[in-house]
Amino acid sequence: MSAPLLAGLTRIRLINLRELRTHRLRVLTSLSVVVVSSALLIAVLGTYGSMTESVRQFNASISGAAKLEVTAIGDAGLDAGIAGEIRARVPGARAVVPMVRGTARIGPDTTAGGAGDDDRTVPLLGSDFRVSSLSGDLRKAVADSGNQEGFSRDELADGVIVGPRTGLTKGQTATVNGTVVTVLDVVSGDTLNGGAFMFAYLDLAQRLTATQGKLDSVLIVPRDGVPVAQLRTEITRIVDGRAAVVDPGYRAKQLETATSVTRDATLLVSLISLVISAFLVFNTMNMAVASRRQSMAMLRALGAKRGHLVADLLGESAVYGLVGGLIGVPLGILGGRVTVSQGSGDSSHGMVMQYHLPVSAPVIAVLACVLACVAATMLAARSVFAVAPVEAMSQGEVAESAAQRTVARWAAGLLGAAVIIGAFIVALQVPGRSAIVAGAVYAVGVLLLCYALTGQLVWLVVRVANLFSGPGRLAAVNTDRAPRRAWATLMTVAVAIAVGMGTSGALANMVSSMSGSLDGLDDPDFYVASQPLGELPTDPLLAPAIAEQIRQVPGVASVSEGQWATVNVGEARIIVQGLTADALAPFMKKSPPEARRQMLAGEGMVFSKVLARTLDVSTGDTVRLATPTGYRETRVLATVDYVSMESGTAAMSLDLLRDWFDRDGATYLQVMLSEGADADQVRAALERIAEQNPSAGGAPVDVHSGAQAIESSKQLVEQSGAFTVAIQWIVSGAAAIALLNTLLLSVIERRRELGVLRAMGASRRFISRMVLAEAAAVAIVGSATGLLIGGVLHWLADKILSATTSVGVEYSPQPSTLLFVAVAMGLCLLGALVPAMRAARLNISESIAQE
Amino acid sequence: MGDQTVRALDGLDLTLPGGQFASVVGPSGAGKSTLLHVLGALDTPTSGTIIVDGVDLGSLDDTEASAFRRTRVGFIFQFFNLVPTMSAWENVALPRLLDSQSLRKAKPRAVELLERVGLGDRIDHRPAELSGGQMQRVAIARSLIMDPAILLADEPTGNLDSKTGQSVLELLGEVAHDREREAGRLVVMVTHDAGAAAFADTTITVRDGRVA
Repeated sequence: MSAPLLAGLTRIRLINLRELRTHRLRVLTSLSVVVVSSALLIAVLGTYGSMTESVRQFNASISGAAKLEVTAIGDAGLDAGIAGEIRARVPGARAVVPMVRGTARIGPDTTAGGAGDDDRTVPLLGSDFRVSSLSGDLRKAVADSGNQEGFSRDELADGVIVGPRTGLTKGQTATVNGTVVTVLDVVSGDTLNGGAFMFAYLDLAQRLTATQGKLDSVLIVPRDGVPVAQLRTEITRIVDGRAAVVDPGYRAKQLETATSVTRDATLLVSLISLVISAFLVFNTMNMAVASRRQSMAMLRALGAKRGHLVADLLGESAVYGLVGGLIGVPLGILGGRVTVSQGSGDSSHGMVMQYHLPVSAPVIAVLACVLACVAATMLAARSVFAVAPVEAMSQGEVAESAAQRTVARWAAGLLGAAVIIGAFIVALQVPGRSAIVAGAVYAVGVLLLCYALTGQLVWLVVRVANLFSGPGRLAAVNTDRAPRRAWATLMTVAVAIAVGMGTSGALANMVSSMSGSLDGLDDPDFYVASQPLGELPTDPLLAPAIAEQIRQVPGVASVSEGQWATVNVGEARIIVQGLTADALAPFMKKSPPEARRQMLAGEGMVFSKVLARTLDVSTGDTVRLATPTGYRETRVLATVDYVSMESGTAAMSLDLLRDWFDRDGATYLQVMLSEGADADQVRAALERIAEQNPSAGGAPVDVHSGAQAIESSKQLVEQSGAFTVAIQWIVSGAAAIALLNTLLLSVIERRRELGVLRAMGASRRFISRMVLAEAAAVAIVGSATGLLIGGVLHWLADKILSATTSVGVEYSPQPSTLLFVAVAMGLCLLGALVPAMRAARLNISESIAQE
Repeated sequence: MGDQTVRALDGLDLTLPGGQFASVVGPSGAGKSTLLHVLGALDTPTSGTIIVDGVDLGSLDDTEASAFRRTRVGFIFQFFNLVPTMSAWENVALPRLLDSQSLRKAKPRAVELLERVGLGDRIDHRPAELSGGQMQRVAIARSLIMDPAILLADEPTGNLDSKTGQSVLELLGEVAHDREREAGRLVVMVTHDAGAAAFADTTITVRDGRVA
């Protein structure tokens, strides 16, 4: 290590870092928010990284050596004959492996838990002997059970191979999806979905999933030396739009898209938290420069270069970022693990999520914290240039120069204004997820602008303090002498209020706007659906008889059938809703009347704005979709606001959906009651019918009300804002501690001066009122500033959320704003009580004698 | 100061050779401290030339002035100005650290200087554990570590009792007459105490910004 670098590190260790011990509370406050920022980043990256990595690993463990996958366009699956066509006409394919992928619901009377437990669900995989061509864990798992030739045709007809986490034992008889099967073997290891899986021979798998004659996909293993691109071209030609030819890893990409909104919203909160922690570090360093002025002057007198002092300050702040970032990493990992373990296996498909943190994540988090802290300190470090070495010759605190550092302030002001304008442009003009950075950009711009307006803000505090008569006038003098401290305190109040207002206001508006975008969802009295509440009923189809039975129930006025279907458009996944003329749905309410008429007549489709953006189309364009029955062309009749799901949502005529996607039936029913009907009685009847008519493969049918449906959607949105609420409280807590610390310090540093005042006859009451007046003035100006910043942040956040969710989030001020202001002011005054009492109780003689 | 122009030094003409202990006395506001400031490149004169140890101080930029203060001048402050979080030897070695040198390599010389000023048994003590006189001795040792040609002391005994002050003044005298240094060392002490001034070889009286 070079001598200058070593000397610099030694200076930082001996002078800067040791000095921190005398300001423990201030250091801890700033450090805590850095820790939170780092932990949040890690938690977000770990949680969402785990989701996609778990899916990727699961798929990789199945596909093994396969380089291409021919996948069904929709939920109806693809014709099993496609595999034979590919085998016959594509010599470059070494293996063409048929795959069935579904869900195995293991009945409660056959699991280790015994009778009375709920069904256990695990992924169900089905294939034939060709699965041995895949070198993945599936082949290994199946091969481990002895080779399949060891099992007779009869055994394979109703026998399954399972992983150890299914709770089944070898030789056991189990009821799976309503069918009795025999467990042929339990393979060891947990590489395949953590050991929670079931494998059946193709015929049995098709029976268990009620997809006879159909496959979910075909995996292609190329011959050595055959280019994948060539293979893709040949297969695409053969498939001719009846299926999609994709990379086997496409499911992970689809999941990334599906979770992108909540992931990015949480990342936004993490970024804002990072900006706030940088602000608190800036405050700490700013005040440190002020309090260390004397020692810095001494160092300058001894010959220290200004550049060295600046570098030492930046090094000190880098230590903040490094230490805070590193402490946050294990906390973030813990938070991510808890989130992942809570979500694992809960889905209706039995997918086990395993925690996975990208290797780069801790590096990114720590680097982000270091950079944020160093960047924040750069402004504060400029003050070093104002320290004259001659100041070392005088004793006592040197009053801060009233002269503005004009160039720096102007530069900060202009840059801040430009950055704020940039944030607005991004939020209003940039569609999609990129708009998320606008929130953090705005926060940076505002802080720069407020730094530039330090003089003006402090002037306001002085004016307000003067309103509190005698003690207030002295408080005003103190404020004028220490503008840096006053600014730091009022900005802490402002930031706490702005973050609270902006984030909670935007969250509240998003919840109500999303409910608005789903207007119509709660119109039906009841839903009868093939999936439980909270999951979109895309499959399986309901039993055909169920609709007619429900129509016969006394009190039922009408039953409307509908389908939700997932459709693969290339590697993207979209959701399509099939509607009838009597359907009650948000799409029906949002579509212009003519577009609605045309859609129901089968003349086109209505797209959500997200889908239109995904496919790069607009109203009037013609779109070519691949369907199980071949390519179809359709016109985009309208684009509407619709809450983002997967890569987008569309609506079409139910008849057309059934025809194109080869799915006759319904996945949900809308039930309307007659006037005066007893809702509870009707519901009970619906539940009886649902229990008696499970869907294909024995899947249970769910009954819930329209009100429950919309409430469930609201809860999902609120959950995604949970991080936001946590951030608010953390920032408010940090602000309160920072306030207390600053006010305490101001008393300690002015000990001699306060002692002189007392010696001159000021009463204890006068002294304590002086401290309180200072706090009150800061609180008032800080609150007003916070209201202004927070109000704009709230509006901007609404625009950002509109861009990312493609739902128009309506701005609406929240009464809770007043609560934030009241709490902030209360904390200010509460935080000033202890310093005020301390100031009033100083020993006069000791205070005057103190140097 | 503020909007007013104050001539702290007005046509002062002075030559001080090395190897002597000079005291600068005068009434309050005479310009004593200002003289010290310009000699130490802490301040620059509005007009005139200051040559210290062959260097024209008026021609120096901030970096050069910092280097001058670091290597050619030693400062002794009235209120000691030790770093409270550093030990005695670390405080003595501080100028070397500011010169981007290794602290560890500076330690032997720092310890030697502390022994010279009678604090060989206090090398690891922090300022809070030292008396006023001991702190000033540490400051003197610090001022010597770069072997400067000039030491500038601003009221070095102003915060000490008479007995301790006397020992500090004797030490300054020894430093000025340091036979180990061929060119000698100039010690300039500003004081308002006539008794302290008596320890010096020469006394310069400054009045109204001029040498009286």
